Amino acid sequence: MLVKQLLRGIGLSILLVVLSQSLFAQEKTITGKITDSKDGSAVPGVTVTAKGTGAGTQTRSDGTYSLTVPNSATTLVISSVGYATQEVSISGKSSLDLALVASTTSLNEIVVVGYGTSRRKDLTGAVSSVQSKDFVKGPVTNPDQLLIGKVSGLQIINSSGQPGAVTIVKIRGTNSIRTGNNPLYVVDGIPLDGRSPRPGLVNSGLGTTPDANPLTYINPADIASIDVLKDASASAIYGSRGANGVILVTTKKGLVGPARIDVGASYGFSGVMRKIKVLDASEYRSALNTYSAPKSDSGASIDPFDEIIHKGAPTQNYTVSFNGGTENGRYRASFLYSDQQGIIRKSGLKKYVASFNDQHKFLDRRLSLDFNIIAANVTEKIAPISNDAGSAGNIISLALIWNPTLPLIHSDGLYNQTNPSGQTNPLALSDAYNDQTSITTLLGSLSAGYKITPDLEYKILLGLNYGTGVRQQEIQGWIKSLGNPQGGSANTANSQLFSETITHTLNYIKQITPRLNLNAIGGYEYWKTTYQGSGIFGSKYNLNQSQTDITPGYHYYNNIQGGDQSQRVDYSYKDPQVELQSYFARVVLNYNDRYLLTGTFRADGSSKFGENNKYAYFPSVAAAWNITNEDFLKNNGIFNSLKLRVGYGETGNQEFNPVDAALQTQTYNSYNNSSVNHYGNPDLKWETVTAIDAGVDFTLWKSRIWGYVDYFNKVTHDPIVDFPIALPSAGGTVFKNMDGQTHPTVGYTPKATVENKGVEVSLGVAIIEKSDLTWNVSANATFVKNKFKSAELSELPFLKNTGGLHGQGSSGAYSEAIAHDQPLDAFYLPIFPGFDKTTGVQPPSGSPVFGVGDPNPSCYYGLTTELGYKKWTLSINAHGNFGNMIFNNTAMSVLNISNIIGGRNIASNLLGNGESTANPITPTTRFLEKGDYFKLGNATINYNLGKLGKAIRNVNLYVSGNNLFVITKYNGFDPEVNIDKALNGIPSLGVDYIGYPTARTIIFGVNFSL
Amino acid sequence: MKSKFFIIAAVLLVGISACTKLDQKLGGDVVFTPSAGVATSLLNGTYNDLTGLLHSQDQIFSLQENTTDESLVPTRGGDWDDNGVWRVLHNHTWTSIHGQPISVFNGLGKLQSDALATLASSPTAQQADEAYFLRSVAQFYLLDLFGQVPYRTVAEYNSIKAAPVLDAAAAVDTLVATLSGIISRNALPTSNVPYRASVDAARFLLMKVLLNKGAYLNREAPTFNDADMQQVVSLGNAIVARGYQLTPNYFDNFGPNNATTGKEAIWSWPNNGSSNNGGINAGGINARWMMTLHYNSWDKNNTYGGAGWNGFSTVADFYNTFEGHGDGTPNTVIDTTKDQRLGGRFYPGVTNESGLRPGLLAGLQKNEAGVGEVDRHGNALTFTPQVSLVETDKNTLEITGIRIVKYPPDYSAYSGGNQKNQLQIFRFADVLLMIAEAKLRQGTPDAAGALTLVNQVRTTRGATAWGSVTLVNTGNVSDPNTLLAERGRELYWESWRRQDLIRFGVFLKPWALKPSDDPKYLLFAIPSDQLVANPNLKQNAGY
Repeated sequence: MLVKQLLRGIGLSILLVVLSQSLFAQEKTITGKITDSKDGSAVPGVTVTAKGTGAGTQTRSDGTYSLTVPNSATTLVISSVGYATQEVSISGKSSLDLALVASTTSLNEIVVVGYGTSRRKDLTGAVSSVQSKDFVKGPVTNPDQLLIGKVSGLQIINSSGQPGAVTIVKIRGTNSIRTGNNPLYVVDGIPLDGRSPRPGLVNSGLGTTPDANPLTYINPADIASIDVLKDASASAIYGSRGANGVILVTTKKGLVGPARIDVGASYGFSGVMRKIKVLDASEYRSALNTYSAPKSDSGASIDPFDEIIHKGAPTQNYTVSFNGGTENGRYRASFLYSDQQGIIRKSGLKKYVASFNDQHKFLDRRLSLDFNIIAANVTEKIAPISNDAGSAGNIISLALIWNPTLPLIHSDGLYNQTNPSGQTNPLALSDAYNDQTSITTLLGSLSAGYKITPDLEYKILLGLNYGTGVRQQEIQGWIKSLGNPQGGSANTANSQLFSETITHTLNYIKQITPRLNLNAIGGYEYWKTTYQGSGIFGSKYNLNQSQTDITPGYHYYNNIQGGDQSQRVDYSYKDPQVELQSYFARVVLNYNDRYLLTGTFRADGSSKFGENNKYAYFPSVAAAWNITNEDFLKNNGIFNSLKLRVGYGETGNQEFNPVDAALQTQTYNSYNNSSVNHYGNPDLKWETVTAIDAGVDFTLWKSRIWGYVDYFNKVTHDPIVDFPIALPSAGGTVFKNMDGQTHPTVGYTPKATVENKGVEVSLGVAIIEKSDLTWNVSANATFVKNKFKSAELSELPFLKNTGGLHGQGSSGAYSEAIAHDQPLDAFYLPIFPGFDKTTGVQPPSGSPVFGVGDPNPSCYYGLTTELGYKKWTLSINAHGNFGNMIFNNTAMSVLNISNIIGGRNIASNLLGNGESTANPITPTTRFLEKGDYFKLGNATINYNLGKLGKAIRNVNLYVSGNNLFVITKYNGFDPEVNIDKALNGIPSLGVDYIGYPTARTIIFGVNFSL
Repeated sequence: MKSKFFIIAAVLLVGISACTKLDQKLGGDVVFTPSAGVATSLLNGTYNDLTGLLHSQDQIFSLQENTTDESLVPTRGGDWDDNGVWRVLHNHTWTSIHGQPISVFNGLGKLQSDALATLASSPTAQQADEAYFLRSVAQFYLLDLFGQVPYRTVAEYNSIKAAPVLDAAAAVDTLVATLSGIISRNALPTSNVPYRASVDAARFLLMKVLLNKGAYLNREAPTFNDADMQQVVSLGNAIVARGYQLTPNYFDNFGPNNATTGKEAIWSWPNNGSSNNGGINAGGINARWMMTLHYNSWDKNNTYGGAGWNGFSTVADFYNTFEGHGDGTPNTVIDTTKDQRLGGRFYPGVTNESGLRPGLLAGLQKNEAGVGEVDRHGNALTFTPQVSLVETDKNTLEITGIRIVKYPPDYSAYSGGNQKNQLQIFRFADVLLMIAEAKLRQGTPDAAGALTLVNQVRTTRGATAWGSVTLVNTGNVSDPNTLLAERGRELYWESWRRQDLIRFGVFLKPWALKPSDDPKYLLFAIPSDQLVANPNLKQNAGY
């Protein structure tokens, strides 16, 4: 299929080449040099384009350029990151030198939009663009961390300290009831699948280990910019995958000039940002008396949590890149090695990433060929930490509750495995548990463009993304009292992800009249993805059954066959293939730089839907008015720029699993045992988000103040919900649209919508702008209100429950639900009745109620400041949110008061609260805590040494700290909570349960060029 | 010229498309195409739907036992609160959002659905009757617990629209017709093949349907039809004629070797020690002992803390209905002369492993060496009759409540792996007691015939023969001298108690730790999401 489409594309391009031979008009060449107005130094990499034509180039490393333009061209546009864009007339000129003025505003920057670029001031939609110089500094494992707190409307929740752990990224609230709220990631034009090829794993007793971040394989130092398409008018060009917004990652490309080598190295250490306060040994001893608990004082004084910490966990990161080239051929290659060890013993992430890209121009520069490849291997060591451990717990809970008077290791060096209170020794668990994955990813693309005329360019992009993950895990048999099969257990599993993209575009840029410019693009895209895997589980091994008799280097997972044959389980699976086929077009009209109109349209077909609804259409329209270009505001002295934007668009969402909902499918569960999964819903159609955005962009007072304000109102229509099906029918649920319609196959389904309304504000101020001293501050805040509405369901207690609780005393309990007129995942809990004053036991609590708390913050914000003094720069990046509540499942199930009589530790804050040790563990509002916080995400001090000798240039030395502190009243490790407590495919939010604590990392680094 | 070219190019661009049909391509799964080739595996899949429904402590077992006078799960400090789900079952205060009825309703819906898929797949005559039997099992429990039975015809097997719903009378008629058909076609094996449907199992289920019919039609004031009772007696006699016997040692019906030592299995779940028995999964019967045993009860494989979950208990009123309760010489190898169903006797392979004496566990628990066990406070592990729904005294909260171990544990696979105890679903002793009950309820009661059967059970169990038998004492649910009490002693913790209490008209009476009641608790609520999905279902009164 793909080959056929490729051939058609190539056939087309050959045809276009042949047809276009006689179409070029008369041309002239402009040359010149671009310098910095401050010190006259050459500025390489500046984009020079002829306005109203497709002609453009970049300056060489010495700042010079040469551009061939049609005779009709009258104006050059000169733009570069960090400088104000200038437009200069070239009428009658053949050379043009120019000094660029540094700019602190982002309004003139080139912004990547879907299938093309735009100047910020030509945008009509809500797009945030972050250039590499503005990324979050310091040690970064995943590209999404580069944006934390930087972009209004973008919420990035990254609470797990496991290096490489998955983040939740949401743009302007939560659109979908089910999973599938992540934005679409597009790397250099290639839309990604969004899944990681790391095999998942469920340990018996220990629970499910958290997912991996699917973007870990990208080298953060390779990223030139990240653009976030936030409103429907911007993201509608991505149609069915645009509903949750789009994040466009653009990698760095080679610059014209002699080869240049950039080197970066850093080394640092990590520790625990914040601990949960439990009793120390002496407090524990006194608590035993206070509570008249059985004498479980074993005499020692230890800090068990400290024992499972990898103290001073080292982090190191080395990058080398080189780039260079000529007008007709530029290249860049880079290599990354990083090794980030986790703060919990035996966890960490090691990365090797190589990337190479090459841009070549042929045929008088009408044919361009771009080649990109990223090849990466990421190995991950995973600690026994899970989302949903039962009362057996995981290494975190075991360490928190371990009796601090009981040694973890006996004097003979063996682990203490006879804890009278029964739970597993956390240090022994760490030793007996091995879990590692190796993920190899290849992301490659080839793009060819041909300028059929100076105005018209055809492009083809071929991309593929292949990832394979191998996971090996074992629990050695000598560990005692763990809910795993006697004799140890082992898993090996592998999975593979393969996606292919092919995109054809035609781009037409034309100055229709001197005042009216047209930029139009049309295209076709095909995308396909598959995912499959297999694994083997073994248990009951002969070797390593006793601490005193361990064969060094013997791992069950390398010898699965060494286990009991009858206990072996093997499996394989392949997910249904997903195909998307799309046609899209965008037209931008610019009248005199005052009035801008953008219209986009996309038609998407998806194999996820049944015959009746394969295709859907996603239009958008937006307009902008550059008021400062009007005569009445010219030279007004206040506004440098003022733009009003308004847009409307419809986008789709087709992210749901399983993707075979339109078919009737059957699964073989085991030998000679099968069942029907579900009967098909051929009426299933796309979930649509309609969105309005109105915004104003401004820069004031000689560009010292800049910012924007946006109002947005999004409504999710026909939400796709895994809806209960009238029994008896296979599967119990079927994916349906809650559209209030009667369909031929599925009958009637009630109507529901999800609303996200809000305002986002972003403001920057250059407070001091002197040659020796600069200080600027920028801040952003997003206020969003989320509601699920379904009047027809208002009589029901709720549509779906979620926010599953785990651990002791909470079997089958949940904390959140989806109900009419409530925010998604609203807390739904009984009110805590308090303790009875005489017994210290709480009376039985009533039924759960709504209105006790919202896990969605009412506001999330970011704050960045940069202070420069001579060669020193201090940058600080902070973020936080307020208005949300967190359910502290750890406090409820792990650190409860009854532990003290069972010989286990308790949370320090329980002392003296009047609670009896007989008080039941019961989920109530007692465990809801305020989630407001302010986190100092990063602070970096940089010293620009400049040249070192003749060869070494741009030497920068820095020290940088991540997660330096958090200000919050919350009692867990981190109020940024991202633990998957979904129930039946309904995501949850804000339930905290024995997750991996957040790391504080300090690194020292150096960058230089050769 | 240029614009002309643009048009050509645009036309070409559109022209390259429309080559992908976007057909769905499945990976591991296959498109379900009903055919004889898949009938066997689908039938096995249908049987497997029963494993969780019947074995788990929080499914059918919980709904049928924890709502009654013979079982409760007290909240013990940090354990077994679970948002009150256990308490509200026992004191009859549950609401429509209780997770256990929802889960059971969905499980029974799946059981029906999978039986339908099997029936749609050109099964053999035997496979068809097995599927009809399993569908009847699902419909029986839906009727019993929820009072309404959504169903579909075989022709409509793959419909996902609202399903028709049978009311109680229509459901009884459907069950009677289906089960009578199975019996008369005689296409099934005659007697118990573990897990598989048999003619005797169909007879047993039909007895249950007919015996409870009066209760299903009027739960607050059941009446009994003479012809139905006559049919219960004749169905029962047909089973008796098949040659079943009462097992001499009561606990041999439940022990690890009950596949061979038990004589009473009419329908049972295999649990033969293998995880996969030709497509049938083991059930995880260890919940039956772990749910009730203390953390420190002895388990030789787990030195500390792994033996039990310290939950399910019973009340003194039930314990006291046994003849010989509270006497005897505990913890000796010599068996006592009291009602053997009370337990406390040496059981080979169990008592010598752990000290555990199956049955109702009261008093000090000792290990196999006769040494008393201790709770986590270090106090003697002495199970006491006094118990409350929320234990508040930290010194006794782990030990209150008499425990019940009906299934002597299989210590070769105590908590992991596959235990060999077969789960008893339909048992012969129940047949005798049902015949006796029907004889008492028929138009002209046959008290003498009933007494003979009851005494046959009682004497086999070591209890004294009665001189007369009465059905129930509505003034005292715990009166030990009634057929209801005898059913309790014989069938405790076998998932029949709630149905019995309703049929005997005393479900709403007060009993230990349930001071008051409301008629709405005679039925569970229809899950609210099913009400949305299927407008033909109507919420039961009071919810």
